[in-house]
Amino acid sequence: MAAPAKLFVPRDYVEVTVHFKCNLKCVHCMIEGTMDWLRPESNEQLARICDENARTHRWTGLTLTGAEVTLRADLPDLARTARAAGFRHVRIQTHGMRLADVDYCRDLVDAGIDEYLVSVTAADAADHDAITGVPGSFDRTVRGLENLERFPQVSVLTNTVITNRSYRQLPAVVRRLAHLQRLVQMEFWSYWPMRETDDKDLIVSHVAVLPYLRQAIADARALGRVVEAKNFPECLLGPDRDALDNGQPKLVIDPEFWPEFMRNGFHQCVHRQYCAARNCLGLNTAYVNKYGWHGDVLVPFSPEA
Amino acid sequence: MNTTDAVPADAFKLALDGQGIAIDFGKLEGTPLPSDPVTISVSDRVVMPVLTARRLLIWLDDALKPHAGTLRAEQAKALAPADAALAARPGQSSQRPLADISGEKAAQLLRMVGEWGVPHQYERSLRLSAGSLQANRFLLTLNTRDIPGDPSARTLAVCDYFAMPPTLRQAAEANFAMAKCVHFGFEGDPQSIICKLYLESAVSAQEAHRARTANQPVLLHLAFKWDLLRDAAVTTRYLWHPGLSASEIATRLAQVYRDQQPASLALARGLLDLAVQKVAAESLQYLEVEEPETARRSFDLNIYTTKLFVRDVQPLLARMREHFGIRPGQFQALYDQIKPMALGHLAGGVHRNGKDFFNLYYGAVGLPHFNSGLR
Repeated sequence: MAAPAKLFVPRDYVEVTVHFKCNLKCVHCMIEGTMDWLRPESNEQLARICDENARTHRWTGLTLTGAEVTLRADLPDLARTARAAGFRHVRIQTHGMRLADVDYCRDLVDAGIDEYLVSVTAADAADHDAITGVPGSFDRTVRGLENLERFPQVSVLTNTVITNRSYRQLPAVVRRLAHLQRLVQMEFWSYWPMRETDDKDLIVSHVAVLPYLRQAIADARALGRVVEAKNFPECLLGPDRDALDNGQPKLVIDPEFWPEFMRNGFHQCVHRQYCAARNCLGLNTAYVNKYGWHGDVLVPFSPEA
Repeated sequence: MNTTDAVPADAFKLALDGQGIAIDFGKLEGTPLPSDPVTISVSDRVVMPVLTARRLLIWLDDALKPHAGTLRAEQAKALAPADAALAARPGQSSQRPLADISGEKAAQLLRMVGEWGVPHQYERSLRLSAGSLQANRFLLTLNTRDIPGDPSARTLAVCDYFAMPPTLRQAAEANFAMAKCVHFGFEGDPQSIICKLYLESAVSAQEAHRARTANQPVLLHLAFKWDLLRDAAVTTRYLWHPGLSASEIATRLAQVYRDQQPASLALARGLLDLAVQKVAAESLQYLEVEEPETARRSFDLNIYTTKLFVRDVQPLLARMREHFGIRPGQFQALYDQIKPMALGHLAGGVHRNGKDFFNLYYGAVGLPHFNSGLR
């Protein structure tokens, strides 16, 4: 199955963290433990970004993210401000539970939010709710996704974090969401723990993930969806290496986030010094500490590959 | 000092004014693009002596100290993540695992040979043995005449860098004149890092014909192999049996295995059968391997002329995987990367550690550009 053309270009987007509270307790949350002290960007900062974009037209899209941005009562106002400043697209990154209220969906859409990146952690309620720590969260998220179907101007993206708890369900996630017409892109993010060790035993061997991930890629593409895999070794994806996309938009966040993020220690590989891959994040510190260097299966790209 | 009305300003300009400093304060007009000229509406001009300006500087510096964190954070937001992390918490870095030493050694070998800037061939391989799959292996092949300067000295300098044992070095130097080609080999895993130097002889067509007529092999490669992590070194002789028919190769394979590994013999013959469906057996290059110091008893069948791809032998590889008890997912992860690549040669038999094994070489590429002079 040929890969559908990319729909979104990271450099066209700026992502602003406007809220650091959440009402889920996902085991894989990458800002768990930092939400209490990371500072969200102020409305003034957001206004400055909007002003800059009005002047420079540097970005076409704004992503409002956090933790959970739908907990902000003024989210529609933020979207309207962004639209007025010339952003052609406003996206939110959300767990989608509030979208179960169709009136709320309408408010957001009317305010100009036309792209929804929704976290779906597993393919069924039992597993999703166990991961999020909140009973009923799966049903509400799916209902939210289904509510978005009513709005033709909307594009939906999903994000599934690959952990020991979820990896076997990747193809099932694709199947579970197959009925959604607005779902144009599915993302699969290999978990990183924001530290040097996998204290929660969530990292799963890339070799174990591979058949499930490739099946999910194939199934999603068969549905005409763009697939982005992130933080997975490019070589291991074999013929599906074009699904790897580690690109990220410009992220405006409390700089105190970055020392925590850098603890992941990306770009490590036994072949790092001579592999010709250009999009690969390699292995991270916690992964290597848990599974070693994978000299048994990683094959570097030769310069002429 | 009298109080005055506060006048907002977001721009200023400094200038020397006689013996003093003049500062114009004002506001930016409009919202120009970064490339546009800036227009400032000046509202006030303050002129002060240099000494006053210096005091002002000290006071401004003090006044900004409580805002240092905020200013640093604002500046960091414009930086890339790694730089922003450093700016946010200077001097703090995360703990990384110790680098894999085999990766560094492999990179060094590739770099040293690459820096010669001459055509060479890069060929990777995998090894299967009981419960073990290894993929961090490669060969670099060069024509001796292409090596700049004194080929022997340059080649041995690379070996010296990788601490080639003196006895091997002496033997390599003594035999270097035989080399039409040299091959640098590398194998790395958590337990050992093996470096290799192969000297490949220039066997003429006449010599090959004489060997064939006499039913005798001819020495094609003399190889020196040593382990960087363990005190282990061997000399290996690769003997070419030119012009063998398919049945003769099959017979010799049986002699290599001595009825001890029937499954592996069947696999080796299976590859031979595939190869002779593509080309005449006589055009294949069948070698047998001797290591006087060890129990190694193996063969190497070069099938590049068949133009087979790795995917063409998938059923055989699946049987090998099963034979050696390699986990299916582990093997599949490797196979999916290499299946579109050209199949090079298969080595197999009983290795120096007494274990049944197969080495599969694949995907040779010419660097820095393809050199048709290399096989």
